[in-house]
Amino acid sequence: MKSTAVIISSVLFHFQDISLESILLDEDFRISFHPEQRGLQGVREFGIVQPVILFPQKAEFLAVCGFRRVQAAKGAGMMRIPALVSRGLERKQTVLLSLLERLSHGPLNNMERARSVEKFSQNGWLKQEIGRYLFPLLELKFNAMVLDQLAALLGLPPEVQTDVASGEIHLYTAHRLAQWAPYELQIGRWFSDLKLGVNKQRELLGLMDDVARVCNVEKASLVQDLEEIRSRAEPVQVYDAWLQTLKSRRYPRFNEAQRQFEENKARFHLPGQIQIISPPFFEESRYKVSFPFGSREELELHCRKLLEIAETPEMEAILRLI
Amino acid sequence: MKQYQPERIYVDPAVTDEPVTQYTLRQVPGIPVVYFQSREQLAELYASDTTLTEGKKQLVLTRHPGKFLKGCQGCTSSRVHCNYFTVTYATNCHLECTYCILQAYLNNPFMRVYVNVTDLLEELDAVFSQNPQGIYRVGTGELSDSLGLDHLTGISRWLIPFFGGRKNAVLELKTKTDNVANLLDMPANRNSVISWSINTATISSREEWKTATLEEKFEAARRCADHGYPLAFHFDPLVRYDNWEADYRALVDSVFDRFDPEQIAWLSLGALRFHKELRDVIRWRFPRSEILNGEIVRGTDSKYQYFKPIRVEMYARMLEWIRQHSSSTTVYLCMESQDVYRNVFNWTPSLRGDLGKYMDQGVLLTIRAPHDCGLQNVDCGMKISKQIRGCHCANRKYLGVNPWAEDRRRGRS
Repeated sequence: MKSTAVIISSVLFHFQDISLESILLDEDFRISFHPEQRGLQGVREFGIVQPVILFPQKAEFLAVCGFRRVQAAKGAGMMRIPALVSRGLERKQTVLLSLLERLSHGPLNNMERARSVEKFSQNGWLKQEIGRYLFPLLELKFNAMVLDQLAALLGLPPEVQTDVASGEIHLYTAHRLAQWAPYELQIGRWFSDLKLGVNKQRELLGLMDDVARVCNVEKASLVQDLEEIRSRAEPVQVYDAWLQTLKSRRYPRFNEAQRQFEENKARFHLPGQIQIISPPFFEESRYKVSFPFGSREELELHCRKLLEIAETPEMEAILRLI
Repeated sequence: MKQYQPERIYVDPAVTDEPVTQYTLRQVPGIPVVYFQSREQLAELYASDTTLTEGKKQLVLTRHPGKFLKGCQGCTSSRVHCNYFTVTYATNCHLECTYCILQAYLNNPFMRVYVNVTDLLEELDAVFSQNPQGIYRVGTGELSDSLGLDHLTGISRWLIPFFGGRKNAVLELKTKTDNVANLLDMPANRNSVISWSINTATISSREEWKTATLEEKFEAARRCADHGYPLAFHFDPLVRYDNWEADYRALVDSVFDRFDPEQIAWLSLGALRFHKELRDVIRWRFPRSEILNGEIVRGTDSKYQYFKPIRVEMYARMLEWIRQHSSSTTVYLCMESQDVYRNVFNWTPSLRGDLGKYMDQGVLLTIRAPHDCGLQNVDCGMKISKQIRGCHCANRKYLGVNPWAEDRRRGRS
C-alpha cells in the first residue's frame, strides 16, 4: 500500500462551493451501503460541516465520498455545498480514496466489501491487485471462493442485501442464497428473525441443498415444509424441529437407527438418573451408561436395574445397532 | 488419455543442474521456462493469488528440503494402520477428481516436483540398510499421482531400478493414468508394484474428469503385467448410488477377467471419505457433482463417510465378489476402524501392527521368486491358518497366512 498512499497524498484537491445540481449521484465510486437515511436533521441544523469529495466529469461532478450528505443537503433545500474536487486523480485512485474514506468511519459490512470489489474491478484494478491491496483492507483472505461469494451478494434482492449489510445474514449464507430462487430467499429472513448463528444457518442450508438434490425435490417445497413447522412451533423450538425434519430425509438409515434406539430405550423404563448414551452416528461400537449415586443402596439399585435390562430383547435390538 | 503438458515451468535456482530438471526441460521444448534467481521469488509465487485451476497448468521444479520418507498420514489413531510409508516427490494432481482431498489440503495450487532424486535415494538407502529386518512398503501417490508427470520427469527411471535390488522394500506406483511408457522401457522387477485406482464407469465419467478410462487403465495394466510387474488395484473411493451393486460387481469381474490372481499383489477397498473442508470445495468447484449425495455422516475421526452399516454392506459385498474369483488375494480396507474390519472380515486387527504384518507377508510373497519366500525369520503374529498361498518353499510355518479366508471359513459370510 505504500506507493498508492504516496500517490494519493500528492494529489491536489480544490476546495469549492459546488451547486448541488451539478453533482451526480451515480454510484461509480460508492462503497458505503446504508439503506437507512440519516443525517438530514444534522444538515438542517448545522449545514455541511465536512466537505464532500467530488470527481470532475466534464461540466459535472461525480460523488466520491459524501453521498448521504449530498442527499441530505438536497432534502434540506440547500443549493450549494462545500466540496473538495480532485484534480489529476485517476479513477483507479479515486475508488481507493472512496474506500479509505469509508474505512475511516469503521469496518465495512459484507455488502460494502462486495461493492468494493465490484467498484475496484470497474475502475481499472486487476484481479491480482485486488487480491494484494484491497483484500487486506477488507480484512479478508483472498481466494477465488471468497471473491465468488462477494460477487454473488450483489445479485441478491435489496431486502436480503439489507440483512446481509446489517449482519443478520452471514456472508456464507448469503452466497448460498444467491443461488436460490426468489421465493426461497425468505428462509434468510427467518434465520434473521430466529437469530440463528452462522453454524446453524450453514447446517440448515447444507441440509436443504442435500435433501433437494438427493430426494429430487424443489427447494421451494422444502421451504413450504419449514414454513409449516415455523407456524406451528414455538420460536425456540423451530430450529430443532427443522433440523429433525431435514435430517430424517437426508439420513434415512441413521434416522431409523436412532428411532429404534430411542424406542427400545424407552421400553426399559429406566429412572431418569440413568442415561444410556449412543455413540455419535453409531460409529463407535460402545454405548455409555451414566448415573449418579451417593450411597451404597443407590448404587446397588441402579446396577440391579441395569442387570435387569441386560437380558431383554430390547437390549439385544440396541446392541445390534452398533 | 491426454498427457499433462504445463503452460509454464518455474525452476528453483537450487535445482537448475539436477538431472531430473534437465530431463524434464528436454521433454517440453517450446514451453516457457522461468528461471528464478532466488528462493524468495519462489516463495512469492507460492503466495500469489493463483487459483487452483490455473496453478495446475504451471509446473514448479524445486528441492525437497526435509525427509522424503514418512509414515502414511492417512489414518488417524482410531483407524487400523497398515504400516505403509510414503515418499513425496511431487505435490498436486491435474486429473481433477471431484473428491480429491488435495483440493483442500495443499497450501499452494501449483504442480510441484521435488527433483533432488539423488537425495531421495540416499535417504531411502540409509533407512532400508539400517533396518534390514524391517519391511518397507513405500508409496508415492499420496500427494500426487505417481505416474501423472512421469513422461516429463522420468522419476520412475530412478525409483524402479533402485527398489529392484532390495530385499526388504517394495515400491508402489499408484496412478489413475495410462502413463506407463517409461516403465515398459526398462527391465521390470518384482519390487515395483504398479497399481491403479479404479472405479465404475458411472463414477469415472461423472467424478473423475481427466483420468484414463477404465479400459485405458486395464490396457496399461495388461502391458505392465506382461512386462513382469506385479499389479495392485484400489477400489477407492467406493461410492454408493442407485446401481452401485451391479456396477461394482461388474468392475470386480472385469479385473479378474483380465488378470490372473497371481498377478495381483493386493486389492484395497475404501469407501468415500473426506474432510469437512473438502465438502465446500467440492460444492464450489464441481457444483454438479453427485458424490456428496449418499448418507454421509461425520465419523469419529472427524472425516465424513457413509453411515457405518452402509460401509460394511459395501465392503462385504465387494469382498464376496472378489472371493468368488480368488480366495487368496490380499484384500484390505483403507482407513477403516477395527469395528468395520470385524464386521466385514470377522477379524479384528490391532490398530497398529497386525494389518501391517499381514500386508508385509503379501509383499514378500510378491517380490520373491516362488521358492524363495524369505519369510523364515518373520513372525507374522497371526498363526491361525494352514492356508498357504503362492509359496512352495519348505518352511511354510508362517507363510501366506490369509486371516480373511480363515475367518470366512469359520463361519462369517
